[in-house]
Amino acid sequence: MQGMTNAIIRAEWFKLFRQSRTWYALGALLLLQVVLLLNAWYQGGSILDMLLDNLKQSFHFQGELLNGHLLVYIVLNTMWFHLPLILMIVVSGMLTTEAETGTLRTVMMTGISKRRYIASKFRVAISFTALTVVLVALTSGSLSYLFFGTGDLFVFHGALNFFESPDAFFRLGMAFIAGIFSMVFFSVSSLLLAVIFRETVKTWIVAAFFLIVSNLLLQMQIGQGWTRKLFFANLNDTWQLFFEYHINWAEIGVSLLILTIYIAAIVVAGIWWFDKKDIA
Amino acid sequence: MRIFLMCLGLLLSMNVHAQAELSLDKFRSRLDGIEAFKANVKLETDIDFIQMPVKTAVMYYERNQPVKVESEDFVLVPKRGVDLLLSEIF
Repeated sequence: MQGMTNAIIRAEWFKLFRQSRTWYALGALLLLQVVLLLNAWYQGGSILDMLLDNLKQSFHFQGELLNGHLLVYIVLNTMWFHLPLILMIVVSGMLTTEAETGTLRTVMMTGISKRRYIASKFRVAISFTALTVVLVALTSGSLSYLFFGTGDLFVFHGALNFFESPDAFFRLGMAFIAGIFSMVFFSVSSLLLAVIFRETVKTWIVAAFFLIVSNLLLQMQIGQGWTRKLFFANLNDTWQLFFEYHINWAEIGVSLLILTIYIAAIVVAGIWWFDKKDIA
Repeated sequence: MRIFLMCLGLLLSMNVHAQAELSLDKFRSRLDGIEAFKANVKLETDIDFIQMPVKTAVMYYERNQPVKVESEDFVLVPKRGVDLLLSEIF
């Protein structure tokens, strides 16, 4: 049984990296980072001047704030929209392409368990998402530190927060780890949508709509107290909590736990839906 | 007797005042003799909307030159207050 599951997972990985879409997506993410770095190179100084203009009237600044840490933080902000969008396109394509080309029907005729088949897709989707976030962290880190060096990280999160270089490095690393949970949430959601809609373009449109609505709901900060904590949209900025001056580990832990429950619920719903539905 | 005590008190206070003036003059002349100095300083920010750890820096003073503060970290140096001249203390 386990051997069969492993074989399906290996096949899924093979199919995923055989798709040109996957390489285009990874290439786009790398290119996006280069564009962000170039933008920072040209405009970073003036943006910082604009943000810190009032402060500069009263203080002399000693040291460089436009450094690798700030650049990694800017790349981290692609987790709001760019990164989940690209991940959703690739991950949903793992099923919709097969459904459209007839591969899915052929595979199902071989007698593979539907549950095991879709569960393997969810497992590969989660691993691929985590790997992509790690790749983004490594590439953005190496490019940013290579060209801009290190220094204190300056972020605006409730107040003007300044973190010393080792602390900044730790917080950025933890933010990427927390970000994996949010990205996995969007990835498995897109795979659930693929299970429901089966058509590539239709799934992309609904997935993009879901992402946009999630971002809008996040900005609205719906709910009070526990309802606010439980609402899925409010959990997707958990990684930002690492940039509060005093890290609230308990709040981050609870948010990530709830997000994990949502992810598990989406995976279970996806498996159930796929198992229930006929393969046309 | 009372007049004697009052005169004694007046003389003593004049003496103390004169001694204080003398000490101050000595101190002032010693400060005037300082051409330059270097000091390790700790900078602590106490502003509502700024959160920053305590920073260390080196402060350089040279007579008739603006005070310089150097640090390997990022530091905020107030534009007013640090640029003191020793002669301005008194």
